[in-house]
Amino acid sequence: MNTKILLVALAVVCAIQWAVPVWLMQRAQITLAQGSVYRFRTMPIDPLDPFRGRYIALDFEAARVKLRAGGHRFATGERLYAPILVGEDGYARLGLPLPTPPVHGDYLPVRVEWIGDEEIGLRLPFDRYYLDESRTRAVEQAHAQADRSHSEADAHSHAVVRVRNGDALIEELYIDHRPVSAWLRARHSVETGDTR
Amino acid sequence: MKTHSDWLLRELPHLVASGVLDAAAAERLRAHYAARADGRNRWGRVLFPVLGGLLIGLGSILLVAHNWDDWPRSTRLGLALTPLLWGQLACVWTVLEAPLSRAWREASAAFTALAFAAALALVGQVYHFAGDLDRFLLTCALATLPLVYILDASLAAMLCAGAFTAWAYVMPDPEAPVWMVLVLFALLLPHAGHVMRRDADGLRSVALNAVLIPAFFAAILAGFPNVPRLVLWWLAEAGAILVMLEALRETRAPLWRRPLVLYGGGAVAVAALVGSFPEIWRGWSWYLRPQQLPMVWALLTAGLAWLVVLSFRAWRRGHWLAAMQAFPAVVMALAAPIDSRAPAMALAALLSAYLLVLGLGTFRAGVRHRDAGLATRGLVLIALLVLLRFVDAEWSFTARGIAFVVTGMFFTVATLWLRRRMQG
Repeated sequence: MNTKILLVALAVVCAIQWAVPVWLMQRAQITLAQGSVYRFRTMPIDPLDPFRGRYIALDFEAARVKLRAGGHRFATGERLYAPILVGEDGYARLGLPLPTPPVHGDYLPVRVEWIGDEEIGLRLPFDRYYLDESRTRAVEQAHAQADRSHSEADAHSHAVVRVRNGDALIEELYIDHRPVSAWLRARHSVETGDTR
Repeated sequence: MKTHSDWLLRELPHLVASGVLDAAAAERLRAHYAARADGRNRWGRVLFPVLGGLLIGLGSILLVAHNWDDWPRSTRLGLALTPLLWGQLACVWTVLEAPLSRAWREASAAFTALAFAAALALVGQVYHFAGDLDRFLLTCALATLPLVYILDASLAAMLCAGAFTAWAYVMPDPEAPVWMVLVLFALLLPHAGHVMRRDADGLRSVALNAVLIPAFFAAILAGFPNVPRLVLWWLAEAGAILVMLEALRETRAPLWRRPLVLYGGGAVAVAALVGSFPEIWRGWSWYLRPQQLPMVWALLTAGLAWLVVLSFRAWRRGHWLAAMQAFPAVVMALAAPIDSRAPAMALAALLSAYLLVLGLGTFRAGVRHRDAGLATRGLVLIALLVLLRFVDAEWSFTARGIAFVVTGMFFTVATLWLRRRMQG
């Protein structure tokens, strides 16, 4: 094939290969800068993504929504839009998902994962928090210990999420009212006796 | 092989001196083996840069996966995109400066593909995107696909095929759409056809087929939900089509260079061996819901029509052993829409008889063409058929015991006879 044609084709491919990550980055930056802030209660565990590394998988309380009698009949895998409500405790909850985005207020695009007798399980557009591979294990171990010792750490795990036009990103994960990195540092200094 | 040719080249002066060969013949032998050695080295020159590109790309992904979260976001994003830039520059350099170098074409395309995947993965990691592995794989494969054609890069095609297959399995929808798998793999067909036309028996064709074919098989299987008997039909049908295509090509390449026959024959044998158990036909998902799986049924029916045409052509050209491989697919197609619980025993017996005839026919063809490998494959097929009866509760222990002893004796006698026959 003609070298010029090959170069033009290659230039188009290179442009597309740059456009995808740059578009994702730009959208994420706008959401983080302009999105509304919500706090979602969560419980962390530590799995592995073969490409992106170790992360803290987050099991959100808000992902389970109570069903109403005579309401919409949900199907597993169905893509819907869940309005975000804020409870008296200041944590976010989700309303019953709708087939179209609500006209007013923020919402999350969700997918129905399971359907129970009284509630449904939703897959949220955020489900993980990436950390350095050594730290994710520490978070999981600390949580296991906290669980065994009936600490209230679980109750104080939450993610701060930015939401804008259905785009949602986790801004920070908090454990025991502290950002996870600060919490890990504090825990490390208690374990090693280093109080600097 | 290299040791043998080296020995022969060392012997040439003695053979010329003793009058066994004349000088011209010795020179022709030297030239012949020198060309072969050069061919081997050329393959080595391609293989190592390609492996290098692949390892660097995979290493980048692993470094990214560590997650250096002490570093600022901008630094991590900059580092994530740097390998992509290097890969793209290598692609441009290849087109401009080394358009004929297979090593550069393959290595630069594979590295760019992996660098793109790494870049996308790190962006997802930095912003804590949800785990949409299906979208990630499909995006990576589609962004790599043009490089397959621009650089004529088969390794990138293999990476795409792997990503398509993985995508078919991680799709969150309950039934991965078969038609999408067909469309995605069709995008790789022109490249596979181009490589086959250039050198059908070459190592590049062999390697490409060795990856594309099982990847396609597996990806289609992802779209066959909860109906194991349709899976069996698909295995038998697609396997027979591959065997037939290879038979009609009439190549004389050794078996390891004919992945179509290896995979196809293997798939037909596995499907028929599984079908030789009556239990399979008694209530193992006999309710096939054709109205709920129209795409799957359309694919299987179209494949069956093609298989019938191919097997007829193979039969007319005298490839009766290949044409026979269509039988299990036809049986499974006929049994698929009916409640097969009543004729379960007959169906299992039919497929057992087929395997026995195929095994004996393969053995006979091997003996006739003095092909020990072919004859052994026939014996292995018969042995597998009998060995599987060990776990077949339909037969009494006595019947199974007698069958095992008789087959063992047949095997021993046949092997001894085969060895004498081949030596003679």
